[in-house]
Amino acid sequence: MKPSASSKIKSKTQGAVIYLSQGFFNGRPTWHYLRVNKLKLPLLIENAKKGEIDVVDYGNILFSGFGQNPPDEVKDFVQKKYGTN
Amino acid sequence: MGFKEVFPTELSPSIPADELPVIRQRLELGNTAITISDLFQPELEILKAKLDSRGITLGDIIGIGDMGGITYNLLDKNGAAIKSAVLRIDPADLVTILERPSPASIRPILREREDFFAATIVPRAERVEFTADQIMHSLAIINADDQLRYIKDLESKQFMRIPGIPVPVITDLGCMSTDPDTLKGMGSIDDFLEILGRDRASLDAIKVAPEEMAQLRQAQNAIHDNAVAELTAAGINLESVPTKQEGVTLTPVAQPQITLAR
Repeated sequence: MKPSASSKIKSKTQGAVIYLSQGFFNGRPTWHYLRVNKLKLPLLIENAKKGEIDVVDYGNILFSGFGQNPPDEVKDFVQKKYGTN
Repeated sequence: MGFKEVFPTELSPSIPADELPVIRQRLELGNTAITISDLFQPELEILKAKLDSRGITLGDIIGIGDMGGITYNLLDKNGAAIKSAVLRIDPADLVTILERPSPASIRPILREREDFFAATIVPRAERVEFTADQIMHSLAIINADDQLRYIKDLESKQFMRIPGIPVPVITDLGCMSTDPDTLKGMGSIDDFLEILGRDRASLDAIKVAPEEMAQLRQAQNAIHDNAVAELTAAGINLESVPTKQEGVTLTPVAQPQITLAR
């Protein structure tokens, strides 16, 4: 049986890891939940240590916001959808 | 040629063959809403959460475009309808049928992109009251270079109702390119003129002058600005979050389990 389009979509989320990236832009705190391709993960970690990154270079942004931390409802949603706990 | 026959029977060769049945099904008008809803449910849930974090919730579906784009009413935190803007989810981006930006992407207020769909909050086109003659003017507009962009911005006034669909059909006119290579199988101006009982001569007779085009652009910009003002006044944050970061801390949320060899 051929895979449905919806199952294909779901399968595309596999092979990636979900990261919360917290940092600053011009001194203003921002956060992003990223779906990072596993192949790009080492590069992301290395460049994050060095200094500035552009998160779009490493994956897809799931959620973004200003502030140090994501709102609780976003945290809950991400944890529920992607978390391993 | 009837309206339904205008819809694609020849889809872009860039679409994987095994997705064609789904796309075709989605493009059949009677099934559009159901199929889209099923197909995009996981992504729609993400989108709802995103919008909620900005103080927006989805209201009723108010329109379905020719290509399966769904237009929703928007509600603010108090459940009141936002008068100036609608949300458009555009599956055309999913399948790359259109090899140019989707109509809603031209001048969005807030754009959310994922791998598999695009959703945009756009000014509510109903703020412009089109008459039948103005619709024909719009058709004329897309005959000229760089004018296709403008009519796509306007998103069009709803002007057709298809039997069997309980919601108004919003047609963005984007399927009426004169360039056959741009929108393969999407129908042409001539197809649409036939539906409307008009011909090229009547179209040319009402062609829009550049001065009028400028006025229409100005009107469209005013609609956009008005929508931005209303959304901002409702406490909705339209500011895009910069993607560049410094002083980064990374925290994994989910990773594949690694089994160590014993």
